[in-house]
Amino acid sequence: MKKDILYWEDVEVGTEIPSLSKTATSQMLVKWAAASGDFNPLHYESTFAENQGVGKPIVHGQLKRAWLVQMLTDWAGDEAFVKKFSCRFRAMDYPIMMKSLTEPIEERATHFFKGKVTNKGVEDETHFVECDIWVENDKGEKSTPGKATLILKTKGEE
Amino acid sequence: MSKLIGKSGEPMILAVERGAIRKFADAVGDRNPLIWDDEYARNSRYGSIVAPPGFFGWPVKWDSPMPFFSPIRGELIMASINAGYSRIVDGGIEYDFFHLCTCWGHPGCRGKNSGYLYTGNQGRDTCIFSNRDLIYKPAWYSGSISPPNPNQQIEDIINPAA
Repeated sequence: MKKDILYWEDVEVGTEIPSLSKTATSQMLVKWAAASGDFNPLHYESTFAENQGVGKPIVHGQLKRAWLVQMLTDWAGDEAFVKKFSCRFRAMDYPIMMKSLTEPIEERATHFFKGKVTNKGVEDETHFVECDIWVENDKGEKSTPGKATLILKTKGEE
Repeated sequence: MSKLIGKSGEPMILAVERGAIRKFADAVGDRNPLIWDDEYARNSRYGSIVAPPGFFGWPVKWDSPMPFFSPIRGELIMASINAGYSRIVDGGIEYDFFHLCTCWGHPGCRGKNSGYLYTGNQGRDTCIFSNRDLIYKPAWYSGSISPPNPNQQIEDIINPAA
């Protein structure tokens, strides 16, 4: 289904980006490892994770980063262009284990992806918005703060 | 370890193809029709499936099965171990994008320290990104104290004055 176009004129400083929630399961971490090529046992091997001092396998920072980007592209649509993106991994998060092929042992979101527009402007005829973005874990902690700049279409453009 | 500052790795070629893009999108749970619907993508202004921005940053399809053991990163790990810091965790990432990359492109990827430049279609630069690695040596490894909260430990490394 075609996504709605987010126009620059319809975004104001203070606009909140629709949040995205995800449940990080051990199965998702395996899929991410296969897709990304990151086979660091820190993300699936309990003994290794314990020896590394993180207690148990942790969610990949880069998976959280990919979900933050998804939040932005879900919001801004196909016509927008993510120009700049940065984030910092400030805390470790843990996945929910699976109880069957398709079900986690708990049905709850583990990560909430949020953002807010902090600035908008025009530079070299390019219409941009700047945003603060972040991930909250299931304890309400901001585990992954970041910033993004998006270029949006204007209503006068084809 | 300071000898590694400014050091560049060898160029690497990464093929951005439909299978890798869709495997990425499936892992993320991104159902954007620009990725999954060939006809929709063909009729879009891009003319084909595109690699979403999140696709870049943690390269897929490396020759090595362990991308974080690319030669330059291997040197970083060895230098860290020799300095007494045996652990590295991912500290963050920065991107600057120049163009969207369609799946028929074959971008080149040039390593620069732990940052990479993707060269997209027709040789145009697609994006540049850099990683931050946090290198740490757990004080409890000697067994003299109990393991601290790992989140606090990361915070201590990022902001030692706090």
